[in-house]
Amino acid sequence: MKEANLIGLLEAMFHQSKEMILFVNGDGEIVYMNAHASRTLDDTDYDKSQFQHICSHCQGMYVGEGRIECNNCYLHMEEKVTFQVYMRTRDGSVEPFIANFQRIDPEEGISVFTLNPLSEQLKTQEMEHQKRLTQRIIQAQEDERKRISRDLHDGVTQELLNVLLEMRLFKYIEDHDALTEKMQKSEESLSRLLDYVRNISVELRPASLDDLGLEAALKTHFKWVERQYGMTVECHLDMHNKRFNPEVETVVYRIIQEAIFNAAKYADVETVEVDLHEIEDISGHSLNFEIRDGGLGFDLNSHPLGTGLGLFGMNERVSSVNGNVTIDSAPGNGTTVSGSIPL
Amino acid sequence: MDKMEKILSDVREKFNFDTVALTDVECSRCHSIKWKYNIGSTNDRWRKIELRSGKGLPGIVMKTGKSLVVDAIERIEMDGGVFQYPMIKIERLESFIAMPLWNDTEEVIGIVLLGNRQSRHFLQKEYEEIKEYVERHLRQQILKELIANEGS
Ligand SMILES: Nc1ncnc2c1ncn2[C@@H]1O[C@H](COP(=O)(O)OP(=O)(O)OP(=O)(O)O)[C@@H](O)[C@H]1O
Ligand SMILES: [Mg+2]
Repeated sequence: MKEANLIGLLEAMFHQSKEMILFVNGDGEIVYMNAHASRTLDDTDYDKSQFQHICSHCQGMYVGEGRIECNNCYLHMEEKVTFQVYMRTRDGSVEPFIANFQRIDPEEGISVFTLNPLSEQLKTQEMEHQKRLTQRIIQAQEDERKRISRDLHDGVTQELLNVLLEMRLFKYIEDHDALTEKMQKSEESLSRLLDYVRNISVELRPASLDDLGLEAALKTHFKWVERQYGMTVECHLDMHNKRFNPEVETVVYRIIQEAIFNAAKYADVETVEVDLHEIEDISGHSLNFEIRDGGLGFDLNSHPLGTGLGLFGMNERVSSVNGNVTIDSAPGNGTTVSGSIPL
Repeated sequence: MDKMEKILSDVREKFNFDTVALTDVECSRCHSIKWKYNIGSTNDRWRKIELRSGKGLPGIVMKTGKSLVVDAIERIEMDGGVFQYPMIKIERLESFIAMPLWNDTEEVIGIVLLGNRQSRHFLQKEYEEIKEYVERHLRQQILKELIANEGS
């Protein structure tokens, strides 16, 4: 076969392929792309006088469990086959594609990057996963509502009814001392009720988080944990009651709370340690947290004993403020949850 | 060992329980409930527990006024999971009896928790025997102490 012929065919294939084909250099600049790619990918941000960069299209890789991340970029690899990336398309949406990436010219650092629309089957798989996740979240919300409603019914409605009945009888009591005694009892009941209701609302959302800030809210929570589960929280917080952005405070509070609940439920330990530090140096300004228990630990790849939503929620929360979280655990070696949030 | 501890230990031995615990009866009308004794425990976590009234095992037993007899915790559906009942979790109980103790004016003044770390089938007759023993010895001692403390 003649060489000229092959080049001609390759060119025809490049231009007419229903697959998106892009040539990318070592810096991620797009050297060439075929017609299908330029028809599909969004180019609104693209200033024609500049080189076009793959990162202005790519939104990250799918890493499982409904998460998309931009770590371990394929650009730095010799080869990566059949992975899932998300690209911005011309109609303004972000779509998943099955990608192959392969270095073809090591000297110039040129790679070929091909993209195919995600097959319907895979799309459905992902949707199924998303659906199951949504169902679990809804179920968890429902359970939480049930718990609160039962708390209100058993603790509040019932007791209030009792007090009401007691008070109705007051008007029939003639003896002064007997009346005083009855009234004292009702007063006690009411004060207990007040305490009960206050506790419910603190459990739902600690008012002190808004009013007094992260440090105070955490300390109150740690005391509550000790009374509730007989587990002491040793905390090392040196923030001098400094206030942060409310979003950051809520995220940190909820992550620490979840990690401590997990330790109480699964670690079987008497103490948990919590570190929280504000770090400011040349590498940046961040709030770093770490929660350690020296308990039973678990295999990160095995099935969760419970719902598995807690750790998932931690990830979601922390990425909402551009932070990161790592869970480190092994059977018999305890569990450490650590991470940081940029300030 | 004080008198109360002695009685609790006797109950534990006589009826083959792993742990026998008693709430703080001085505080039956308080906002929260603590455990005052726990014979046979393997650690001290139970001392830190302080549940607000209505919560946990003491909560259920006080509300219903009835004993809770559980042969094997895995076989029952516990409201909110074992997590809501820290004593069971901390002591790794698999079976237990939680019994209310009454004063003479029909108020629940305390809860005694009799637990085992294996499942255990309780016969009606056995339960009656335990209950009778607890009322005769433990309840009497509690009432005696309450009266003595009121006087002082
Ligand atoms: N500190 C820990 N020690 C031992 N095992 C843990 C610890 N934290 C988590 N696990 C394990 O990881 C699983 C996932 O935890 P996760 O917080 O996501 O869910 P969960 O606590 O079971 O449910 P939820 O948080 O919704 O109440 C748990 O079911 C448990 O098996
Ligand atoms: Mg959890």
